[in-house]
Amino acid sequence: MAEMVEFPGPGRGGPTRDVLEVWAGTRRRSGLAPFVDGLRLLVRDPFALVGLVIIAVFFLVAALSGFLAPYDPYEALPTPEGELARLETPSGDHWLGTTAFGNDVLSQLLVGTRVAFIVGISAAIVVGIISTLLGLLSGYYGRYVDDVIMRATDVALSIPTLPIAIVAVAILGASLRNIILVVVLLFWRNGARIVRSVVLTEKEKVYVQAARAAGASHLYIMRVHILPNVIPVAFLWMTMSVAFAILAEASLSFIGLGDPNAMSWGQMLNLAFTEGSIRTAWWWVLPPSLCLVFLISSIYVVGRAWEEKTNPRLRRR
Amino acid sequence: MDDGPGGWLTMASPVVEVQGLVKHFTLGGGVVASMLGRSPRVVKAVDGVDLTIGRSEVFGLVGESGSGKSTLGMTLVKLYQPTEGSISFRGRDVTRIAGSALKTYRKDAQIIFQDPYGSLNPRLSVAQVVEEPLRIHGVSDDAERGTKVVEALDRVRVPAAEYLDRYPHELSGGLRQRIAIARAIVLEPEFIVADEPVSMLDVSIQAGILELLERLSRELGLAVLYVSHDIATVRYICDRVAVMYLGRFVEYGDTETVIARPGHPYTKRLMAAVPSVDPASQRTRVDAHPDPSGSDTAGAATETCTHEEPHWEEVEPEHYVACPLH
Amino acid sequence: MPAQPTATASAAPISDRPPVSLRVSGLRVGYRVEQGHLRAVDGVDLEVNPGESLGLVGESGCGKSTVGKAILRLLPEDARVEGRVLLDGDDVLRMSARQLRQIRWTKLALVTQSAMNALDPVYRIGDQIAESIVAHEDLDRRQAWRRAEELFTLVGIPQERLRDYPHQFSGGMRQRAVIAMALSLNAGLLLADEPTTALDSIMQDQVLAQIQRLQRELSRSMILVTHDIAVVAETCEKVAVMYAGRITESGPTAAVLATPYHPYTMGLRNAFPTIDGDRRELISIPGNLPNLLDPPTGCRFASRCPFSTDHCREVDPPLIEVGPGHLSACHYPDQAAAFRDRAAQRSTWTTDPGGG
Ligand SMILES: Nc1ncnc2c1ncn2[C@@H]1O[C@H](COP(=O)(O)OP(=O)(O)OP(=O)(O)O)[C@@H](O)[C@H]1O
Ligand code: SF4
Ligand SMILES: [Mg+2]
Repeated sequence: MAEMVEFPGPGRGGPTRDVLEVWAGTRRRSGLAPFVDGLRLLVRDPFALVGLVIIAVFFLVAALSGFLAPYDPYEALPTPEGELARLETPSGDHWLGTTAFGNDVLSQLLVGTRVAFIVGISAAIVVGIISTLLGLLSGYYGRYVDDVIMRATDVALSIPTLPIAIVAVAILGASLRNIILVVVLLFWRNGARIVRSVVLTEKEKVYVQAARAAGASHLYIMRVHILPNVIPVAFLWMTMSVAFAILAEASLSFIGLGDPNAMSWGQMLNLAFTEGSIRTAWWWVLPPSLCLVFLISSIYVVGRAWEEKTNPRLRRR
Repeated sequence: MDDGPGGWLTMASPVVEVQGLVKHFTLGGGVVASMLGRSPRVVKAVDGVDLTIGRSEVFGLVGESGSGKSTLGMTLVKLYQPTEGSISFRGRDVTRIAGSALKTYRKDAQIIFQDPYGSLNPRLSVAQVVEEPLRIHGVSDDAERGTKVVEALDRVRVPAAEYLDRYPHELSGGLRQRIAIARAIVLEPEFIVADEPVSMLDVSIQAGILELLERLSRELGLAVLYVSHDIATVRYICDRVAVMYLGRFVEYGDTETVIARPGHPYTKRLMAAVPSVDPASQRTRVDAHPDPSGSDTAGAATETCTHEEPHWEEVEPEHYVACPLH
Repeated sequence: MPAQPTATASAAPISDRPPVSLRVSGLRVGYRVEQGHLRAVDGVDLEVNPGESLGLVGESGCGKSTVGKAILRLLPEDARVEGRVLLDGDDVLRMSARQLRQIRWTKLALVTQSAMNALDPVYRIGDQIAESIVAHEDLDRRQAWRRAEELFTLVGIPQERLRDYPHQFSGGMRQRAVIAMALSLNAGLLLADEPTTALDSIMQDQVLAQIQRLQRELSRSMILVTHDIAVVAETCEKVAVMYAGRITESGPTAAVLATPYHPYTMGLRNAFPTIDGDRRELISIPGNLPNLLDPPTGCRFASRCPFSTDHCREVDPPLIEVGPGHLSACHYPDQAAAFRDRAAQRSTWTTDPGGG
């Protein structure tokens, strides 16, 4: 019987390409490809790029804050005259002035950056792992597993966010670890639901059926067909968790529930407030506020752009 | 179903033999529903089917959507667990196998799906799609997989050098369907269920895919169950056809005979629904939904039936019609 | 002249609005894509007289949906559109947003392939239909609901099913509900893009029967976009065959399908499975559409045409009249009879037509 071949599409190399070479070429794609693709798309968006740069700068500062800080952030500094350097306006010695306790604002700001990242990233990682795991199990296995996990998120979701955070930290004690814990407790539930909904649509895909028909195990299907679609979503959620964790830490610190041993931006604002300097010492108040605004909005812009690039439904042609 | 088309159905060495196959789905049987005292609803998707397919045979199965064709196909490749009845593959009973026996069966029985746009993972290249079954079955040598993938692509007439590194979104529907077929044959199965493989393709491409299936069946000795809602396409690749309605077969026979002299009112209806390219042909449309009892005008069984049970009638050699009164 | 607002006339019964005429001339549509400028439609002329039905056929990617979208002005913002789309004499392509809104519901209605997406899963179907009537016409809810009931009867669904949600409908019923919705505003021209492609043959048959009946009884004008020539053969008076952004053959359906003059039409016919008469060979048309980013010179079908010559590859064949109202864009109309015989043999199509 005669052969019916749809011709190769136009504009491609002719039959000169060597099959085995092409085959070898297809071997080189890593499992992180969707992630890398997303990032590549991300840097093409000018807004996202600016956001990424801002985040990167903050991150560098956080990593190097030990070196960069001109003074010990907790040390009560004296003036050349030997008095306490109290509420000094910015000068050559203290670029951002000093606090009511004679601490160097710049040094505190730099250390605060580190605290922000520690809180944000640890919370996000834990949230990411828990949500992905629970969402995957719940969405993939369905039935009783799903029932149990979803009832648990229902319960968790009925808890009001801020009041519980305040109460929990007040009871558990004010420490960075507890703040992270509370953020995780509040944030895994939506994450798990979002991941679950992705899994629910993905597992119904015809190619998943095809893999099943070929004898694929559950683990194989989750790894090869489902996880790559979950990762961008989980990553987005983690980004949001970073922002939320930083904000939560700042809010808790501002109302006096911060870790007394970690000078965070929220802590700085809290001290300025309790000292009655919030309206007068702008050099003390503005820097942590601006840092919070810039970092958080950069994270949101990047997260939003990421969502737009990795979610084909939002992607414009 | 006594008096079944038994003789016609038994063959010397069938690849697939199905007896009294039943697949019921239970809907609304969740924990909450049972606590509320709601009784679950049972959908009888497949309700007693006998079937035999031999080597190098393309067996046609037609019926409208919802008649249970896809369920039957998916049950045969064990994507669903049968409720009752038996499936045997080359004499081996595979009805309730699990574990490694099931994995072996998965190598022998494959399925091609209707939707060429949904059946390939958009993140995987053609090479990765076609090699997937090999990976799953532990062919760990890269070069060996490469050889087999190229061979499979050759069989479906897709130039491997040109397409291995392409992604599904770059391919037309016809090419995608060829890739899906390559994936199905790469493990060298003996039985393939083709579930409406051309119904989402352009007419100009359909013929090529149908012909490919027929050729593969012949060359590789494959038993193929070709499922379609369109009785016209069945005619081009199947020698035998069964018509399915509400989970049961209502007519069996040699394809040309069934098309020339359909016996069951439902078959007539199915044929009446096929549009004709010939503008001069005046076909009469049947408007209402078919009545399973056959009170539909289509004729055939106007006399009363003396049998108590549903039964088959051999209306002519190799052509069986289920009594429409049951 | 701008379209007159017709909202005041709408309390009238469903069949009261006059059918419209459509004249498309020199339509070109280009999409901006990453690799450049994709000429999806490249010079298309169409004519639909009041009450007439036209089938627009061609394979996937030939630009038939793009023509439909251009007529409805539903193309993406960055698409480049040239030519004229005259609806009762007014150029749709040059209308203001306000004029457009008026004609979209009163003169033009769309039924698309994806009935699933046209219905919102969270509202009752009846509410959705009534909603669109209330939004566009001067009727209160009760009147709108009554109109919806009337429409359901027309498309053959029991009225009480108006209270159902979309998921409670089968595919075919959903498709018919979408048709009812499209008809709810009495548009004079119905544009149906693959209205039955997702359906099985029995459903398809029912939906087509409904569309055809409505089109005839209410004397609507209609354009049916599809890849299925048999559907057109049974439903439309006229047919236009599209290939790679152009019309290759057009005319009265009976004439075009019984005695095609263009080899592409012949190929489409032979690829079509049929249950009539003897089993003949099915012949697919090998090859793909040419690259629309950089269309070839000469006849666009040349790379797949078994009868192509050097002349074909150099000179663009114009549409010429080969019979009453029957146009074909092939250089060799006088050899059509011989082509038809040869096109019915598989060997004709399998020899490599050169340069693929
Ligand atoms: N929004 C868009 N942006 C860029 N290119 C597009 C867009 N929509 C369609 N195209 C391209 O325009 C060409 C014609 O597409 P169109 O949808 O009109 O084809 P069609 O004949 O309706 O095909 P089908 O039968 O598959 O629906 C194709 O090459 C398609 O890829
Ligand atoms: S002009 Fe030439 S290539 Fe084009 S259809 Fe006619 S014969 Fe074929
Ligand atoms: Mg289209």
